[in-house]
Amino acid sequence: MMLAGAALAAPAALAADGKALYARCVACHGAQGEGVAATGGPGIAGTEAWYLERQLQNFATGLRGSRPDDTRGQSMRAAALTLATGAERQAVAAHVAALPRPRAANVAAPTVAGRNYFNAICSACHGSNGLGNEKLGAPRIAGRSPAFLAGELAAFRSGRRGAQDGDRLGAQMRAIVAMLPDATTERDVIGYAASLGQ
Amino acid sequence: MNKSTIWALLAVAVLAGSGGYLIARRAPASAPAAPSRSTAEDLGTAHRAATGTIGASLQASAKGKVVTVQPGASIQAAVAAALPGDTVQVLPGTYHETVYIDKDDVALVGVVRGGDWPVLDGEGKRNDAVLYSGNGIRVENLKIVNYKGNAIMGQAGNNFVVRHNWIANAGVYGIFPEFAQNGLIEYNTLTGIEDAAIYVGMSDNIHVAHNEVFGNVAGIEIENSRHAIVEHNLAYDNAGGILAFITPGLPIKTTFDVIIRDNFVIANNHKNFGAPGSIVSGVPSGTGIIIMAADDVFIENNVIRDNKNAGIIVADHKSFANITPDPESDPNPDRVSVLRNLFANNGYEPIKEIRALMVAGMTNQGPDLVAVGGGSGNCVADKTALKTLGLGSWASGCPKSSTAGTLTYLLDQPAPPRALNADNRGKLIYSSVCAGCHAYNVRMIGPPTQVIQAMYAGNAQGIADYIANPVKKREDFPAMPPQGHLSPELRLAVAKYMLSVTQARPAVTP
Repeated sequence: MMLAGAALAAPAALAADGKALYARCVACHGAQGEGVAATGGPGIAGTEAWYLERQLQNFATGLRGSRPDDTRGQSMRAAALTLATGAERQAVAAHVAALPRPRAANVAAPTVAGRNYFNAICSACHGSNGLGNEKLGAPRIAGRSPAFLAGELAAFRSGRRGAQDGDRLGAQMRAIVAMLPDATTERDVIGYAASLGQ
Repeated sequence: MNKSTIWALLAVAVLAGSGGYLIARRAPASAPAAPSRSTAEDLGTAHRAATGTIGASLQASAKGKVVTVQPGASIQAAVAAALPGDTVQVLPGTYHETVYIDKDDVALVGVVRGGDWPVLDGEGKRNDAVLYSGNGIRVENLKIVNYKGNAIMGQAGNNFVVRHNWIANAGVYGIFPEFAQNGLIEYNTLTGIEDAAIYVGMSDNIHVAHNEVFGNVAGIEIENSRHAIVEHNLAYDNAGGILAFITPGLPIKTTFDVIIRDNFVIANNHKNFGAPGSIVSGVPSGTGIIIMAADDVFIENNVIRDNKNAGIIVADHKSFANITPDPESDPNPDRVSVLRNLFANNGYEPIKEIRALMVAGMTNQGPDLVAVGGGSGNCVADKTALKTLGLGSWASGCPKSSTAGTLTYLLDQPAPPRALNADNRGKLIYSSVCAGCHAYNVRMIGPPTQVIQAMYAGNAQGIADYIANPVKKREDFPAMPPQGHLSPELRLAVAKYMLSVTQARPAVTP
């Protein structure tokens, strides 16, 4: 009985813990994980827990946020290092994953080129519906705001993200971003991803 | 000759026929053991080849012995024991296996008795029924059902014959010669295939005749192939009936000299059930014939009716769904000749892109023939008889009014085998196996080669290990068939090659 009781109580304890820990994230990511434009903190509400956990881990180890030209990443790395253990990262990731995911607002109708390139390239890992694929480490991108997606692609392209030694998935994403031939196509693909799941 | 003479001749024929029937019925009773070689071959093998225009350049020689496979025994074991020149004869029964023929000049021939077929049943879990990489292979008289990958796939096997097979629900491709020269596909029936039922990929000198394809996403597809004739086939109730494509991102960059004639292309209105996001999923349901970027195509004497979207679409790369450009391929269909055909009742429920063209052209009639995008030198023989859209640049009347002078593109002599050596083997296997599903920068069936390069950068061994025993990771992609029949050395060679493949980058959009 003791064991069963502990097992039942554990998830609640975890969630409560994550909620408390999330307080230190609010200034940049917002109370509901909606993002704070003034600080540049992106919306993270409803992002997959496994993906958030890996990113927190990457910030903690310095795979992300240790480049001099990545000032936002440096701030995030400092914040991630305040989470002392894997269990804390797990708890806060679970809390954020459970926050309601906002829909991208005012998304324009996607272009044919956006669909074609998305299906040709992005769908291999993020799925033809953009819902992501945990087995491949690819997060959901359907319905993400165009500004967020553009920021991430720019970070991969410049090497602010994904260029550290040992960041296998980051390196993969950097190689794939390079498959998009030009800025127009990149905008089209972002527009298509944002329009999915609307 | 008067009427009574005809009747007399008929009576003689009937008597002769029934005599033959009685003898045939009696023979097994006295000789119940292994049927003779002539029995194995009598279902339209020797005599058809002897009387047809398709000569000895294709035949497995059948000079050797006949190895008979009884129900319960392994076809693969018989193939392994066979020598070039041998015939592996498969008796009626059900077989659960993948057969791989990696030697030359072997005939794999089923025996159909009293309506009972030899059945290869993949039980929904095996990927391929028959794979061959030898030259001079013949596959005949097999019923193939419930596979996930391919029913019959040729991998750089020249001078092949695939004939008289009954294929249902056998995966992504039904009959699929890849990177082949000189081959015949005839008298097969195929249904329930998720991409092309008959898929001629990166091949030359191929003849596709007298097949029935229905209930597939695509019926017959000639892709990145040259000198192919598609004639006397029945293509109905597919999403698209007959296709001639240049697919971008493949090692072979052209499709030309394709004749599509004397086919029935009827009511290809099946829902497109291709994997979402794949190229074939972009085939609009209700289309009889699609020419995408292919050159020097003749379409003649077909009956094309009741295809709800359009009778024929001629499109460039830019206008086709899920296609991205390949700077090494010409994206436009050039010198396409639509000669005399019977068109009736096509285009009664066109897709919105074609409806938009109809609005622009101020017509409410869906098309028999529609051209979208670029292309030059195209012509139509009887423009005024057809409902057409987008034919502004097409000539009325064609320079060549008939293909009757071209009997076949098959070769007089067998094509020489493709040389395999330490220098080219990675490339050869990439072209003849991998490129069946993986294009460089677009999604055919599997993820693009470029994405695989990103995933496995510097890790050829990782690819070599994975392809021996793939694990499905993408729910909206078909499963990757295991390639464990390739030796570890060959798997590593092809993996290294796959990581080295390049292609020119697309021009920057202004």
